[in-house]
Amino acid sequence: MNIKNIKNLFNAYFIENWKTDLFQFGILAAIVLFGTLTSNSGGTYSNIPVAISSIMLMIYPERLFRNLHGASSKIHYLSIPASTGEKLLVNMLLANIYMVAVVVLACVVGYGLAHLYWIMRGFDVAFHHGPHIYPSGVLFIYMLLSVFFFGSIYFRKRTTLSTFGVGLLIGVIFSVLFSLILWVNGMMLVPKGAAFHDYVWSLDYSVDISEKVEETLLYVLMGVMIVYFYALSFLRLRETEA
Amino acid sequence: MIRLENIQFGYVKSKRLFDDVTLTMEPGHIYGLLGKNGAGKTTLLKIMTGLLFPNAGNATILSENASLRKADALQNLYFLQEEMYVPHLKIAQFEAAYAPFYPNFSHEQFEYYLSEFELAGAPNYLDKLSHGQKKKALIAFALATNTQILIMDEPTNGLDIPSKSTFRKLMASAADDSRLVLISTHQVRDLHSLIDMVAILDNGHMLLNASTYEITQKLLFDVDDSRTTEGTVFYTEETPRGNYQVKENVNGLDSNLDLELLFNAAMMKKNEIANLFK
Repeated sequence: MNIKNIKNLFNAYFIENWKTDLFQFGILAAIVLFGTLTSNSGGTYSNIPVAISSIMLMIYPERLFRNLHGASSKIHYLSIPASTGEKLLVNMLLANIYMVAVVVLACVVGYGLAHLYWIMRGFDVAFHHGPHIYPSGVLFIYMLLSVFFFGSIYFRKRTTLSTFGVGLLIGVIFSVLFSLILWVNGMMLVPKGAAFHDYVWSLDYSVDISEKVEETLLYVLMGVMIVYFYALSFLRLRETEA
Repeated sequence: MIRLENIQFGYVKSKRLFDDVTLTMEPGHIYGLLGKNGAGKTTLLKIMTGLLFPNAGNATILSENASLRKADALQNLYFLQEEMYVPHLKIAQFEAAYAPFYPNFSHEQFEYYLSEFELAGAPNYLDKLSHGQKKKALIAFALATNTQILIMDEPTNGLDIPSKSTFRKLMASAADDSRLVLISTHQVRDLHSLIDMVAILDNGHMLLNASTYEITQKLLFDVDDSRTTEGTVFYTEETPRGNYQVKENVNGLDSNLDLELLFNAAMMKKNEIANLFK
């Protein structure tokens, strides 16, 4: 890893993208502003901006790797004098820190302006807490981000949609498999004369572990998934040909 | 500086484009890579630059495995592709974004090359320029990077006649003993006065890789047997000004290399020409 190459990659990114980023920042801030002003919840933080922010974060990797999706722009990107690791690291920092900061800042600005408007209009508005942030929720967003990050390198076009589609397909397949296993097992285990539905619901699925351990296991699992998808992204980018 | 050893490559397994390409290119020369349409010139350039990975064999650039695309190697290599990509940036912004990647980039040279191509102070965004202007801007940038290896794929495509002259002039001035320039083209007349090494690619093999000096030592470019009637004639082309010939230079006579005639001769008498330069 060469710090100078990393600095140069950031420099090139900001020269090329600062206007688009500023535009997205403005759009999101405006959505939060008008969403908050028009909400019937008396100035409480609407969930709509959270959803839009999440979508913005998920589609951002497609923009980061857009040069990989055209024949000549791919050659341009792959020929930039920086190693695969440096290119990947810079885009990871942009997706996981920079764009998250842009999105959070846009929400804060939009929400703050809405309250400023109410105060100027003379309404007695108490500042409400923002959305409650669960660490597992944040980690889940970062895990999704790593999946879309990989998808934006793996797929050649419409990468966000393709990743979403494949993710959905895998989800459906696993659900069907799980249901099938449960059904087959259930059929074998259900005592004669008992209703299958009643039997399945009567089973105790809980595992005897503390909530803390359960939570830790969830974090570890998501952490492993994040590392796994970024490792896959590195390997895929290294093997990408023009 | 560039070494290809026993390269085998095919976009599909059943159809090989290269069977066994071996080639060494050294600094201090301007190479012309010639070949028919579909011969695989661009593919070969991509293998050299690590943009495509060979199925077998080794591609080495600046003593590094090309496929690894190491930053140190890429800093000393510039590949100007035929179908250029330019971001939505003005020329000065493009320079600010990408020049820092090249340690030997010269702003003064870039300004000079742009002025020679009549692009100095161009206010437009690069992607709004005409194809020829985009090409000229990128040629100016490529030359100003001062990389040890400069690879250009069909650089004169889309250039008008004055720009082609300017291109030749700038290329001649930019070449030095430490630099390797490789130009792939099918417009051989554009390179006639420029190159000093000729590589001809045909049917998955390197048919010829020789200096212009060596070529004129072994081949005679004659009109109507005016110099000599001796030597095997490899190729004859009838023109209103007489019959142009490429024949074996058995008497060691001097003649001017005609790339187009050489290429046609190599296509007509592949084995004979290849054997002559073995």
